[in-house]
Amino acid sequence: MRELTQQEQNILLSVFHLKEKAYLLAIRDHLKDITGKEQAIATIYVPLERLARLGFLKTTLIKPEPKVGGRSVKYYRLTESGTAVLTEMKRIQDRLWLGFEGMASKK
Amino acid sequence: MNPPRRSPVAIPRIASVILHMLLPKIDRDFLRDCYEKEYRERYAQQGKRKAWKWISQQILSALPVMLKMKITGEAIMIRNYIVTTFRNIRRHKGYAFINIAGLAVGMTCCLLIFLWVNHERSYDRYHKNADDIFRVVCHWPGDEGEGWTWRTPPPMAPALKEKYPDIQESTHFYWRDGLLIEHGERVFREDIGFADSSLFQIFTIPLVKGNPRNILDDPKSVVISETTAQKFFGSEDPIGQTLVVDERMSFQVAGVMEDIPSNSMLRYPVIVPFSQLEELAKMGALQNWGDFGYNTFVLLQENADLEAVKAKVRPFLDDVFDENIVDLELQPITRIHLYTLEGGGPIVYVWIFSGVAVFILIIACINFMNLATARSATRAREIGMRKVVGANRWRIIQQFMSESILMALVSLFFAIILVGLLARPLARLADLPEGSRLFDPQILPIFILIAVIAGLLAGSYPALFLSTFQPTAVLKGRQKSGSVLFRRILVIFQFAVSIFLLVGMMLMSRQIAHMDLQALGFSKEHVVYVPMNDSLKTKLDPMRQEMLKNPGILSVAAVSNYLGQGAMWSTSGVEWEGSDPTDGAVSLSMIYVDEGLSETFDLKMAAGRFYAKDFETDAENFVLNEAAIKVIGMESPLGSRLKVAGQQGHIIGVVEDFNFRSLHSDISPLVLIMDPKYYRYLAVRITAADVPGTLESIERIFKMFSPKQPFEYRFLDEVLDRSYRAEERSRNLFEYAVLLAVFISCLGLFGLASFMAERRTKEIGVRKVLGASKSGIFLLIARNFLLWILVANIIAWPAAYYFMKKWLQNFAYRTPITPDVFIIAGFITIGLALLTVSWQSLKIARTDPIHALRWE
Repeated sequence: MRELTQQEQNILLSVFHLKEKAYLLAIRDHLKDITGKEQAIATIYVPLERLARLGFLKTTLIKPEPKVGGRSVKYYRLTESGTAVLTEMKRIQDRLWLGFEGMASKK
Repeated sequence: MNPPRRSPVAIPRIASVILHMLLPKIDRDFLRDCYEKEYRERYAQQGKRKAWKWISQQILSALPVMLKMKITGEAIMIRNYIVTTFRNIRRHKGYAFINIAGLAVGMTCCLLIFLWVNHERSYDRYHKNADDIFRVVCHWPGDEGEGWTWRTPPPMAPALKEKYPDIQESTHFYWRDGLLIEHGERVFREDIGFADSSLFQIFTIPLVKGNPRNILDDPKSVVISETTAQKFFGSEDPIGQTLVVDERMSFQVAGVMEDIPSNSMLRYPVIVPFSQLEELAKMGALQNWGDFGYNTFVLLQENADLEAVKAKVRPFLDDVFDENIVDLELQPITRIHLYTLEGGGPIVYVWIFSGVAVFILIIACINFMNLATARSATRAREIGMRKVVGANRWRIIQQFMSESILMALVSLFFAIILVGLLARPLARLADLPEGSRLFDPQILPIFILIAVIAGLLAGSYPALFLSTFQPTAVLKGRQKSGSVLFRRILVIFQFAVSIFLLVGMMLMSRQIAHMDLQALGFSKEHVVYVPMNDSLKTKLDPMRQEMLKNPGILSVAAVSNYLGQGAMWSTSGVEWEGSDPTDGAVSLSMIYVDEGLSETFDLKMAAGRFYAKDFETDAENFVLNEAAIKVIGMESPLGSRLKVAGQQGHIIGVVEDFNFRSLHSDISPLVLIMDPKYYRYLAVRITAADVPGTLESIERIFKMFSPKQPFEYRFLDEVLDRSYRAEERSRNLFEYAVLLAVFISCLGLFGLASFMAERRTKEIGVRKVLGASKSGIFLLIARNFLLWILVANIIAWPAAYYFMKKWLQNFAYRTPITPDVFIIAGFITIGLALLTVSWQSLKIARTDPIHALRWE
């Protein structure tokens, strides 16, 4: 299994966090809240689609409601393999970060 | 494209359009909504400027990723199409060969014709001011002499410029071919142009040396081309050197110009001031308004309104002549090469050949279509699979289109090689001037464009048809191999075009043969033309006597031009007893001759006698042709008084009409005048025996009387045959084109026949087992094709009849259109088709049925 990039990991975690409300703009806002940085829509969309193609996410397209201004929204949900890959990442990361907090607090 | 929904505050239209093109199709709507929502919020909070800035940043940052997604997606598909195409070529080499060979040959032909057309249309377009340069032409009214002519009087050029400010520059132009030019020991014959300095302002003729403003202002100056300078002076500096023209007049070289391109009408390597024409040839007097005979070119101001200028110039000559006989008109120089003043002209051939090129390309494309649809069954499974895996109809269309374009490009590759090999022979065949370049790398993009168009055309039907396959039907093996009717129509069309071209070719050949046979009214064989100078004119009689001592020489005449190529001069100043000046002018062509003419050319007298040595007064007499007598309307012409171009005299004889002009036109009124001033050639009739010996003796005698002049000669019949070159070379080109068209059609038929035979192998096997004979099987297959070709004949005949009738109207002497031409064309096509089809059908008919029945 290919390792995820930081961006992909962040996005997967955001989807996990947002549960059934995870769609493009919500993910972007969530990331903005946490990192404080605003990203272009395309820089979120492209990895999202890639993750979906890899099978970590599944998508649901909601057709626009037949009223004026109604719009279609594409929602993302974590799949089982998405959860698995996050778990695996977490395991690796935890081991990598091991002991760092102590060092930081010593300072 | 769906119009973006306009919300209260919509994203800028341009952004919306870019997003539409950029975003992946499935998610386009909701992504755009995302952008729109954010944009609206920013617009409300931060104002328009900030919102604008945001959206443009968004788009710019998205550009690279999105483009990459799109392109890689497409590239993968296209690579797959290419791979599939080449796999198919490799698997079905025979069909691929027929397809590519057909297209390549068709394209070669089309490209060659394109190059030729391109060359013909390029004449005099290279001048910087080409669109503003015009030739002044005159329109003569009247019954007989009516028509257009470029011949204008010498004072016109300066007068036009002076009177109309719209005319920026004007120049005279005249030429004499093959004048003797000397520089010390070096003597050459060169064609000389006569013009003013403004020639170099009007036309783009770059000077290597000399100042274009006043280069010909000195009456003794001459401008020569680089090649000519090289010939006369080698590496010496030519400026200031002396050239002697016609053994009498000296000129100083004032400038050297770059060689004039071959696609120009101004191909004169030596140019001297127009004012010298008077001294050199006793013509072109600068003040003579009555001397119509010279080109006048004008350069209009850049922004002049052409129609307004034309309207102003039209009545210009009314003031000069105090009456309205001649109207002026401006002819664009770019039209001179291809259009005659009456319209028509060589442009007809340009159109004919363009049409032929298009037809040939269509025939080649039809081959491709036919084979592709006929063989669709072999591709059906592939299409079914593609559809099952998710290709939509558009993808399949794309696939077959790119496949046929790819094939077209492969063919183009071979075609370009062939064009490279054939360009030179073509230039010779088409009789292009020396040094013309047909192929120019700049044309390459157009070639590619033609190939792509051919590919699209050829791929259109197969793509549309194949893409309709239903995967379920195909995969179960229930798909028909295309509409038989459509293929039948295509084949019929192909052959109809071939038959049409065949008929055209045969009638063209007949017309040319017909013109060869047409009685000229004089005998052109064994007549040698030798150009002569003024110095010889005084020694004509002793020279003639010397020559007649040789038994090989039958008679000698002095004459002003080649008989059969028209007359150099004509006049409308004709008066006779009882002539009515208000009756409209009678126009006579004039040829200047001496007493030897009627014997040399075997002219028959209708009445009276020809000029003779013994009559002192003959210089004041006239001999007319029958057509002239008819126009004048004389009952008893002999002895009547006549005044032609200011000269008084009596009519002493009438010659039977002979074709002194080309066979394109009827015989017009002519007067033969005895006036040594205008003699330019010696016409010598010789016997058929020992021609080289006779020529040698003519040269010896010629040198005896004019030692300095180089001896040159041409046979009249060769010269005359050249004037039918336009027809001749058209026929040559046409023949090749037609052969190719027929060849390509047969190639297609061959492919189709072999395919059908293959498809019906099993059926034929069964038939044979049940007792069908070889000939029966042969008929079974050949019958269909024969029927198609019969239908093609019936369609092509009326079309060919109609167009050839129109073409023949270009000629005064026409060959009749007889039915045998059509029947021959029909038999040729049927024969060729039979030959093509029979090879395959006989092969099938002969095979042992056991092989056929085991065939899967």
